[in-house]
Amino acid sequence: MSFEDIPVDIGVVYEGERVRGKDMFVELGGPTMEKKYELALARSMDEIEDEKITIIGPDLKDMKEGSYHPLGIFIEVAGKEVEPDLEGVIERRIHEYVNFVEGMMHLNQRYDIWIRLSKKSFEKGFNSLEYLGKVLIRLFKSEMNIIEKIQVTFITDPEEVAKQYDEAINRYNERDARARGLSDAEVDTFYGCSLCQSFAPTHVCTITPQRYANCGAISWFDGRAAARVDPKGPLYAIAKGDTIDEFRGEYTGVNQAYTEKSLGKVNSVALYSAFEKPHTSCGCFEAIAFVIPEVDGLGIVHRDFKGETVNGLPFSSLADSTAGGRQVPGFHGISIEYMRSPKFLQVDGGWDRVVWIPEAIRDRVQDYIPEDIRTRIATEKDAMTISDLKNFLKEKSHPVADRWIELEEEDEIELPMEGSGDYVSVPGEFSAMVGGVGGGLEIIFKNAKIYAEKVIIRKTGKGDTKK
Amino acid sequence: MRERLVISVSGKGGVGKTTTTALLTRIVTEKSKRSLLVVDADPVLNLPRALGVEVPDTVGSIATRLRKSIDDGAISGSVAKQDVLEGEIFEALIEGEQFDFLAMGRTEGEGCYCFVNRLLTQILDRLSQNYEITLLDMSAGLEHLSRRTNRNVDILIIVVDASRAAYEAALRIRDLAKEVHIEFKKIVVIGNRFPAGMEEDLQNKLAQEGLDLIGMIPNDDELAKANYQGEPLIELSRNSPAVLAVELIAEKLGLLSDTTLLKLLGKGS
Repeated sequence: MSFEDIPVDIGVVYEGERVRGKDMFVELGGPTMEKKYELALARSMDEIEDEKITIIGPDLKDMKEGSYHPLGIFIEVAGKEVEPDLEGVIERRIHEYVNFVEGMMHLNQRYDIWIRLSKKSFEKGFNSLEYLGKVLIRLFKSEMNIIEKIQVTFITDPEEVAKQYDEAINRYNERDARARGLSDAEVDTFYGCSLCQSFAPTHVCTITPQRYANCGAISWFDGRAAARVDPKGPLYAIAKGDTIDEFRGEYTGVNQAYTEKSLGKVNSVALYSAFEKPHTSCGCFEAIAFVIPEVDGLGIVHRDFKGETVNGLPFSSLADSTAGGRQVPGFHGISIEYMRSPKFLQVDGGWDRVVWIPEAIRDRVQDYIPEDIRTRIATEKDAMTISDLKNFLKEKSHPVADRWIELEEEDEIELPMEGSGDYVSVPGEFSAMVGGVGGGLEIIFKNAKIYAEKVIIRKTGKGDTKK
Repeated sequence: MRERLVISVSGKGGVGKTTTTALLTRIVTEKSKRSLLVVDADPVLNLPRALGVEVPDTVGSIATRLRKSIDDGAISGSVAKQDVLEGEIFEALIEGEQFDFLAMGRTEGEGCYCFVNRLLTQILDRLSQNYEITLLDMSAGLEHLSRRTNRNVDILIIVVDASRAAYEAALRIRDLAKEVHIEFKKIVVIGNRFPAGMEEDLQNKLAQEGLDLIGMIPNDDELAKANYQGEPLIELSRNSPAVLAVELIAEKLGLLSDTTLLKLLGKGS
C-alpha cells in the first residue's frame, strides 16, 4: 500500500498525536458544533460505487484558518461477509485510521467526533478531504479483507449535516439495543481482568456480554477495547473454549483462565450462581448478594447503603465475608449492571430468589426486574428484621415462601422438638474431640446468641492430640 | 525529535510547591519555545490562581461523572469508556497561548475507581507525550508516590523550607520513591524562603544524603504580597528576586537549553 500521493506521512506513529489549539488549521465537529457524526453502513454490492469520494460543502482549502465546521462522515461498505453487525467495528476503525494521518487528530466517536488538522499539515499540502478519503479507503481495504467495495462521503455543509443527523442517531440507538441483547452464546471471546489482584490475589474477573465486571466499570466492549490496546495488560482476552453448561455459565476457557490467574486456587466457576462454584469476589464489587438462610433467599446491598441491612449487618461486615478473591457460597460480589442482565443469578432462581434490596438500587434496576416479582421484594421500608421480612414475603406470596412450606414440613418430620424453631441444629458426625467426648453427636444451641471473631472447624486425623 | 521531559514538584505541605511550579512555568514560557503542559495534581487546586487560569472542569469530576453514568446504566453499552474519557479529558484541557493546563481535582463517591484510574493514567501518559515539557504540581501527601502516578517522571523536584519537618519529608519522599521503584532520572532539591547564608549548610547536609541542591528561592516581598492578594504569580516583575532565582534553577535543570538538559540526563558529552 502506498501513500506517495498523500502530502503528509501516514503511520501508526501518529496515533496519540494531539493538535493543540494554537497549532490547528481547522476543527471539524468537536464541542463547539452541535451536530456531527460518523457512521459506517453495510450496503449491498450494487449500491456502492467502489472508491468513490464525495464532499458535500466546503473543502479544507475553502476554510478559513482557525475556523470551526460541522462534519458528517459516511463510510459505506459492501462485501459478501459484510453484515450490519459489523458496522460498529468498522466505524471504530475510522478513529484509528484518521489518527494515522500526520497532523490530524480524531477523538471520540459517533455523534461526538472531534477532528483537528494542524497548520503544518495543511501547509504541506493536505488541503482536501479527498486525501483523507483516499487514506481511509486504502486502509480499510487492506486491513479488513471482508470489505470488497467502499465509498466515503464527507459532509461539511451545515444544512446537509443537520438533515442526516437524525438518521445517524437512530442507527446508533438500534445498534445499542442490539448490544444490550448480545448474549454469551454469540461470542467466542470473553475478557478477564486482574486489576484487583493486588487486593485479592486469587480474584479473576470474568467479563462476558451478559456479565459486567464486579466493579461495574468494565463491559465486554471495554474489555475488547482494552485488550486490543494493551494485550499484555491487566485486561486480557479469554478464549471461551467449550461450553460445559450454558445455563450455569460454565466454560472450559474460563476455568482454565481461573486456574492460571489464581495460581491453581480456583479451578471451576459457574458464572451465574451465587451458591455453587460462584465467581470470585474482589474488594471492589458494587453490591453483595448475601444469603438470608432463615427465608432461603438472597438479600442485596450496595456500597453506598448506610447502616444495617435486614439481617443486622452493614455492607462493610458483609463485604468482609465476601471479599478477598474467594469463592464463598452465599456471599457474592456483583455489579449493579449485572442486575440488568437476563442471566442475573439464573442458576439460583434469578430475581425470584431475591427477597430484600435497598430502594435506591431497586429504583435503578426496576425495569429489569420481572414485573410479577417487582413488588414482592422487600426494601428497607418494608422490613428491617428477619421476622418482618418473613411476614412481608408470606403476605406478598414471594416465590421463596413456597419453598419454606416444603422445608417446614420436612423439618417437622425430621426434628420434632419442644418449643418453637429458635435453635440451630448442626447434624453430622464429628470426629473431632469435643469436651473429651468423641463420636457422633448433635450440637443444639437454645436461645443462643453467639459472637465470634472467627470460628475454625478443622478436620483432624484420628489419634491427633491437642497441642 | 526533541527530548520529552516530565518534571514533578513534591514536598511537604506549605513549602512552596505551587509557587515553584508557577514560577517555572513563567520562566519556561518566557525563555524557551518549548511546548509546555502544566498539570495541577493537587486536589486543593491552588495552581490555577497562581497561573491566572480559570478551571471549568477537572479530570476528577469527569471521572466521577463517568462513574455515575455507569451506575445509572446511562452509558451506551457498545461504546468503550476509554474512548469517551479520552475526549472528555481533552475537552477539560485549557489551551493557552503559552502553555496548556490540566487540573486533576479529585474523584468523589465510594465506587471502585481501579479501572477508571487505569484509563486516566494511560490517557494522561499519552497526552503528555505531545509536549516537550510536562510540569506536575503534586499534592503534599505521599500517596501519589505509592500509587505510582509518578511513574513516568524524569526529574523529581523536592521543595523544602527552613523547617526540620520539610527536610525530613524530603528524605521520606526520596526513600519511598526507591521503595516503590519509581526510577527518576534525577532528584533535586530546591530551598525556599531560607534566611540568607544558609545555602552552603543545606547543600552539605543534602549531599550527605545523596541529594543535590539545585537552587534557592529567596524571600520576596512582591511575591508575598501577590500571594496574599491572590494575584497571579506569573505576573511578578521581571527582576523580582524569586523570578531571577527560578530562572537560574530552570537554566541548571536544562529547561532553557538542550545541552544542559542532556548533560543532566547523562546523555550528552
